[in-house]
Amino acid sequence: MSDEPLLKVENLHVHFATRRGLLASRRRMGQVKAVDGVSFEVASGEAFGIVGESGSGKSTIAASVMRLLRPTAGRILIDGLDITHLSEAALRPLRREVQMVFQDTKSSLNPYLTVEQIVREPLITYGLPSDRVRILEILARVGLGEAHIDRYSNQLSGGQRQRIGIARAIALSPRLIVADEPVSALDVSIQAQILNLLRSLRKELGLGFVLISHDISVVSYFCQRVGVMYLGRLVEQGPTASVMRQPSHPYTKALISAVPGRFGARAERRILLRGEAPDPISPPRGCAFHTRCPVKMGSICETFPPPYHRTAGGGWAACHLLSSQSQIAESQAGKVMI
Amino acid sequence: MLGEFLRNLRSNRVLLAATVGLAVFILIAIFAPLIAPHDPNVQNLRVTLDPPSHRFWLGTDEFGRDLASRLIFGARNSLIVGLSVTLLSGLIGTALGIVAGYLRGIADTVTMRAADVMMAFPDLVLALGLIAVLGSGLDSTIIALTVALTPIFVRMVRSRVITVRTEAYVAAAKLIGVRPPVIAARHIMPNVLGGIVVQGALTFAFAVLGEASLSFVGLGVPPPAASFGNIVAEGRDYMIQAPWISISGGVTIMLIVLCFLVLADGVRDAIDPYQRGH
Repeated sequence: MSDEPLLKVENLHVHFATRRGLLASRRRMGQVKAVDGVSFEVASGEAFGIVGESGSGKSTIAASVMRLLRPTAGRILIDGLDITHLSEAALRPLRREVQMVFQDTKSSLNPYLTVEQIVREPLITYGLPSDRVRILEILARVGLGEAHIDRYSNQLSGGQRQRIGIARAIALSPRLIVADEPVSALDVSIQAQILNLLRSLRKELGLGFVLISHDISVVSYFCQRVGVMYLGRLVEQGPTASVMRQPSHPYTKALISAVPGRFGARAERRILLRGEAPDPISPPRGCAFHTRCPVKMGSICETFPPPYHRTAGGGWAACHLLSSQSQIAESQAGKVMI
Repeated sequence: MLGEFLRNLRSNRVLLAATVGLAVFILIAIFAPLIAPHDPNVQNLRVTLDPPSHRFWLGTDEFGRDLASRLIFGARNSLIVGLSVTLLSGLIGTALGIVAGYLRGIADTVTMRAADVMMAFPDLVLALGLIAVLGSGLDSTIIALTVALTPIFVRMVRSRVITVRTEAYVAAAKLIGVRPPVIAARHIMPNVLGGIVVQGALTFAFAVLGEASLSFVGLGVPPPAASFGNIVAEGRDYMIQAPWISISGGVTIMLIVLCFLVLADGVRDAIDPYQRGH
């Protein structure tokens, strides 16, 4: 059991039916493959980042891991235990282990409850001590105190609200936190504070993290390993340092070249992607990225989904360009529909 | 919430006036027999259409009945109808709206299509049709208006529930492991309540007006019992010689509805967390 990863996601598929029509005559018109065969692992105390543009399926992965929705196929394991099809009652004891931090700080706190009531809720739900002293202890961990405990969420700033969201998440001493765009709704000056807070909590409490962001610089700052999503699939995955230094997939290269500042020093080599991400209802055949890929080779990219190749930095990437460079290491491509 | 409301009362004179006004109306309705200077139904043909005077505060109607007394007893009927309809359609509408909005699926479809069918009829036409079946009287007026005004209530509550249940704090509560009944009571209900109060106030206003309208056409509270509606209706024939009949009836309706709407606004502000501390 101990050598099992804290979180293991295996070949996750989440498809949504698109329907048209009224009442019982609603027909299935097709389906959106929001997540289409994603696998990754998070070790205890490790931070795994998922980057990708909007609509790439990042948040759907978060919702699946939290079992806010039921995956179409694939497995989600916590400590080796398959939670994919557990009932809500069976999930309940596991909920303590896995908590979530939300993007929208306003919507994530009930406006009718005080800070004290919000942080107390997880404690009373599991019959844990929840006196004011204990609440203040938890608040102190996120940098808040006596002055905030009796306030309502609309009397707090965005950064303070996110701190309350984090306090609620850590109140049950979970082992894994799924943070879905935890800083993207905040001012840039506050983003760093919140990221530093999350980082120190990770170290102090040994928390595992799945951090989801559209901002590769946030992920690279926070995470040891990173996965890059495009249209429902992970196109590259590996240790953050090596992915950032030596990206293998053309999409990853484009994302990194778009970051201003540290990585933008090479601004003259910025790769501009033309057009929008394709409609996920009818994704392109072959490699989903071929419609925007600056280094498309030709018909192979339009016809066959690329297999996964090991990269030099110890990760893997899915691109036909790598076929000539390395041998197929681990091919799940056969399972992916063309 | 009560503390917040009392604080608002002190700073908001209009709200204070409306609250006192409505309290006076309710007291008058309750103690009508003690307050009314005359028997509202006794006719005195020597003083028909008398203008307001020391003896008849608001004048008399075509049968010489004291208008002030008739209004005082009419307030009884109007408030009974208004409050009963508001309470009934509030309870039914909230229950159905929560079920439809929370469960969705088949329960939602059935409830909402039924509401659509009822909303396809204008409120008063629907009420008139029901009274035609039930016969006129205070009870059937209440039933007819409740049936006519509930569908809007259901629709409003349902849409609020659907909005609130997608808020992240509901997901957060679920992820903590809070049980669904607690989520409904602690996270969904309070956030739907503001809408219910406002819709309740509108329902009350429509119910009072509806009762007046039904009585006006002779289908509400049956004469000789007084009601705002039939007072206005009776005065209509004497608008020139005795305008005080219709005017006093109409002004009373307006005052009651206005007081209630202002009060409901104040209650909504008091329970709205975004108004807190302002």
